[in-house]
Amino acid sequence: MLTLINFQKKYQNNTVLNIPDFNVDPGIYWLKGGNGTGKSTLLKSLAGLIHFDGDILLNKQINLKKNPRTYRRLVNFAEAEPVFPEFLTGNELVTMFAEAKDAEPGQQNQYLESMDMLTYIDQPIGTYSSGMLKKLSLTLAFLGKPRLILLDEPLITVDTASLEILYKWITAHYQHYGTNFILASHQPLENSGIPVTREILIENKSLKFN
Amino acid sequence: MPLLNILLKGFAWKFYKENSGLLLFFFVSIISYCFFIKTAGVYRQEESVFYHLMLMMTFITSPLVMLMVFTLWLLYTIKSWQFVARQLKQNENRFLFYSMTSYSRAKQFKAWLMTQLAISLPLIGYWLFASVLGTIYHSWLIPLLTLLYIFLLALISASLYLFLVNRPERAGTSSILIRLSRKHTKHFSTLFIYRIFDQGKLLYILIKVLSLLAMTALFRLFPDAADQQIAPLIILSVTTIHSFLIYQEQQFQESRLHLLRNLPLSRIKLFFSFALVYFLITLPETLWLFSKFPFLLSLMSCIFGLSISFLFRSTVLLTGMNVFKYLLLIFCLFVSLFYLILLLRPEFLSLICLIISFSIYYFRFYKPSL
Repeated sequence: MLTLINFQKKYQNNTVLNIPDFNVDPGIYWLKGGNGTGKSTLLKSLAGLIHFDGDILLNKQINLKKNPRTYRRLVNFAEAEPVFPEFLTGNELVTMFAEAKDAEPGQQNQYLESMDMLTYIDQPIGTYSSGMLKKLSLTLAFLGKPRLILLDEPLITVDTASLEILYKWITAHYQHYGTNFILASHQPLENSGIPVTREILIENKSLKFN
Repeated sequence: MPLLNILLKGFAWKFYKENSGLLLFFFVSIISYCFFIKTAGVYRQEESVFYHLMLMMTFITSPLVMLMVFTLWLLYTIKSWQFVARQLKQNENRFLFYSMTSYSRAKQFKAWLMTQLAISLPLIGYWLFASVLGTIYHSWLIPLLTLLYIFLLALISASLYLFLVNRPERAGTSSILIRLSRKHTKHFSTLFIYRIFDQGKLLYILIKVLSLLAMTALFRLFPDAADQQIAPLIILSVTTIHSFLIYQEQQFQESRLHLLRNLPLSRIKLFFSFALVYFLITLPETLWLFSKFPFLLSLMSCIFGLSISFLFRSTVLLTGMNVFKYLLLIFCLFVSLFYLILLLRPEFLSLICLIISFSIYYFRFYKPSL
């Protein structure tokens, strides 16, 4: 599903990640690692947000560097601490994401409804609490027909009821559409009901399966 | 189109909001020049239309004036590039890198083109007016060239934005100053200087160029003016040009050094610590001043400049991080001080500025902006 070839990420002269070759089969993966090990850096690289050396391939064919648009249409991302322009409404963002990611008309409604976001989605983002912002960011990551969804710390700042819904979204997407997930989380996923395929550990600036 | 809506709100309208002070300044300057300086302040009501028409006719018939206007528009466009590039680096716009990049390049390009045309509305307005006059007086060539020029600028801008948003972010390298000073303990008041040399070099150079142009122009334009007045006027212009850096210094404190209010430092110390920042930032101008004017007058003018900078800095505590209000207030202060220099001695003005700025700082520092 995902292949990293000679992947290397440096900040100035400091190598943060050095992954010679790594292949991830379809499934739901829990990315684990201590603070500062490079989890967010890896996810941002996989999402095409930051520059890196080497190559990233989706389904062994779609190269992030050679087919940037196709890749980005199939790989969605939600940040750990999302920040959006305060003057936009949640709805404006959702509409834009839905169009950019080629979502079915009205696809967003089910997500907004189940997360109980309809009451405030037309309000400016500046009025949102951190939990509301996080739910908006998670909703955006599910729009379109992604093959891979990258979620950075998806369980923080979200209330328990919403977490249960998120677990259902992940499980349903995986089972019905075959969407793959990489979840970077410090919180335990064991009791979430999510059928985690394997754990991926970041150790010594590289990746390994647990 | 949802994307265009977001780009217009986040970039075009925000550009006007952030630069409204500057646009207002240019507008008032041009009007003042055309109607008061050019006509020596003597014109009748019925002549105002004539002067306006004369200015526009010169534009649509004179290639030299057209080139001057084109140069101004190029500078305006470059300013918009800087603005968009800066906005794209903001955390709140990071979502664009993983959303709008999924659109086809043609759609992205079209949206950026429309955004740039929205930013270029003052240029388009000028072109429309010139075209109407061109139609009446059968002078077509320059209005046509103007339209092509506006489109060319917009096309180049859209290509640049397309490149910026589709290019993965690269890890920046620290500036030489940061690397050299890594082992030295830094005083809190000098942190902004490091920030300029780390992230604001281009802005600093632009301000220095503008500052040099203003100093040279004033010095040459008024060779016979009394030194007592021209030196403070030069310093007032220089400090006003630096007002954006002063705003950024406060913004840096608010966003990155918010904990400063938690430190056991007196307000007097915090207030006067800015003198070092101002001195280091305006060192080239200070040296220039001492090379052109007598020692005592230069020293007095520098103290005057410092007191104005204190006043500008305290202004932020009144306006908050609202750049529009801030620039509007700076513009009012500039005009007021300009006339006060002609009436009062700089020593006296310095004292007034210092008292007002310290009072604002003392009473507003721990309070939210008005």
